[in-house]
Amino acid sequence: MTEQGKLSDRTAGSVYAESVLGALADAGLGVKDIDGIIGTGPEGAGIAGDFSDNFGVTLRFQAQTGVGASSSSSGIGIAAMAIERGYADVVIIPTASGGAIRPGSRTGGGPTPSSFEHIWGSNPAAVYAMAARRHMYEYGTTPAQLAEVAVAARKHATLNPASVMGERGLISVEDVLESRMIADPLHLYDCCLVNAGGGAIVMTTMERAQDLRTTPIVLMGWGEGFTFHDIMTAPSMTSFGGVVAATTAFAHAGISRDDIDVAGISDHFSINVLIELEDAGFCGKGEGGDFIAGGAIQLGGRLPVNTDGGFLSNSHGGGCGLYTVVELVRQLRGEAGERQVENCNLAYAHGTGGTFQGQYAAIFGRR
Amino acid sequence: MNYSKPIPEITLLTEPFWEGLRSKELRMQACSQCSVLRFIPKEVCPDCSSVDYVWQQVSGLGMVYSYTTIHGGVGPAFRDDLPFVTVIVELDEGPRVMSHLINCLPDAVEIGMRVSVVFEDATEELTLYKFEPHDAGR
Repeated sequence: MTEQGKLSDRTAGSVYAESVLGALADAGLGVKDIDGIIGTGPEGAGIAGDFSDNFGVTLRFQAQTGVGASSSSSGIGIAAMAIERGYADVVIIPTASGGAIRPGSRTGGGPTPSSFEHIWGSNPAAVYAMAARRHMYEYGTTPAQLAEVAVAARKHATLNPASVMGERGLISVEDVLESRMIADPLHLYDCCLVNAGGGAIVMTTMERAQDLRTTPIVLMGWGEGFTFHDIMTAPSMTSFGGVVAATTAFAHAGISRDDIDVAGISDHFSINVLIELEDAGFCGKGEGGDFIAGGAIQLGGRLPVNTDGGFLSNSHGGGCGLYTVVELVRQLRGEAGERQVENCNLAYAHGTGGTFQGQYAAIFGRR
Repeated sequence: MNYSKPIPEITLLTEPFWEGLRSKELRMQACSQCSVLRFIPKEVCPDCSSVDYVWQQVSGLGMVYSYTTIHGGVGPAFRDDLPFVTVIVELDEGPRVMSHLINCLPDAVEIGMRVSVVFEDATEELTLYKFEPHDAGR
């Protein structure tokens, strides 16, 4: 990962280059080793040709994904398939944003709202708020329970020196509930950051990875899920494609929810974490509020979630779903410093993009 | 008329919907094969995959399925309206529709509340569909 923050003095291209070169240095590989790429280019530029232009390499595989903020990270499944089938040896999945970031600017290449949402000034906060409101109605979830997500994220960010919000210190449930209302019931602290930054993932065969400088982490299972495009047509407003994504990922990995030591779940808004914990099967539908109460998703709790601080307090720059994967890899490698989860062997990633449309799940383990 | 908010992209598919609004009618596609109504406009019936449909007027009556009062984080075109209530209404005929709830204090909104459509001329060519509490006009 690169530095995260306003980065108003940097171009997206420079953040992108730093992401690529940084990830390769971490892996102990060079640009000439790369023969495949997935994701989106700086500010949405075409990916493969742009990469060849910048780094002077010939690529033989590329794929672009449309899962919004999780576009880069969901690409790990496609990368694994390409590598297994021999269509690529080393795949890089970069993301970056920089310069003046406008709220609402798109870096993920994801679902765009139709005219039937756009004319009402609807934005992600409005859609997530209506999902939260519906969840409160159906299951009795409270704003204080949602606030627990933000409290945990901030606590984790204070242990992550690279996070954007860590230096602001801890926040309480009351702080969240007293912060400015954005889209009722979501307060300011229920909403993710708007910042810039970058990062990259490098994937290759286990055969090759075991000779590299870092501890190889294995993608054990992966799945995606899609159930709608416009929130009006969603079969439910409290359960989405995450159910099928997680079911597929756990079936591939051959492990159970109880085996997971740490999780990373897209937290564009606090409600995401609650809904995705339910949809992924860590608790029953409607039980998310109770599941997260009392610090259960904080370090030391029953399932630490977003130990880097998440999009709420670490970073929401570029295709930020990628940082979820980076953090889980660091946890599994034992490189998470003060926020290290003890005996961390199995990790679960759950990414959402757009307004719940794009969903993927992944399970990682030590070799 | 001076309308500064986003204007819908009107396509061959969606034109009958917007045309209906100009005559103060809320219309939805009804599948010719299985009769299921759908919104937003699509070429194919999600229930039976038929591509044949007719446009049918619906009652404009429904209930609030979910809602949010927006207090900030919107573009300049909507800033003067803050706070306003965005709703998803489930029509009596089935489909869900996003819109704004008007003639109602934000504190008074609740899920399940009965609402009815209100037509508002935005420009000479564009009429919008909003909702209000069902008893508001009486």
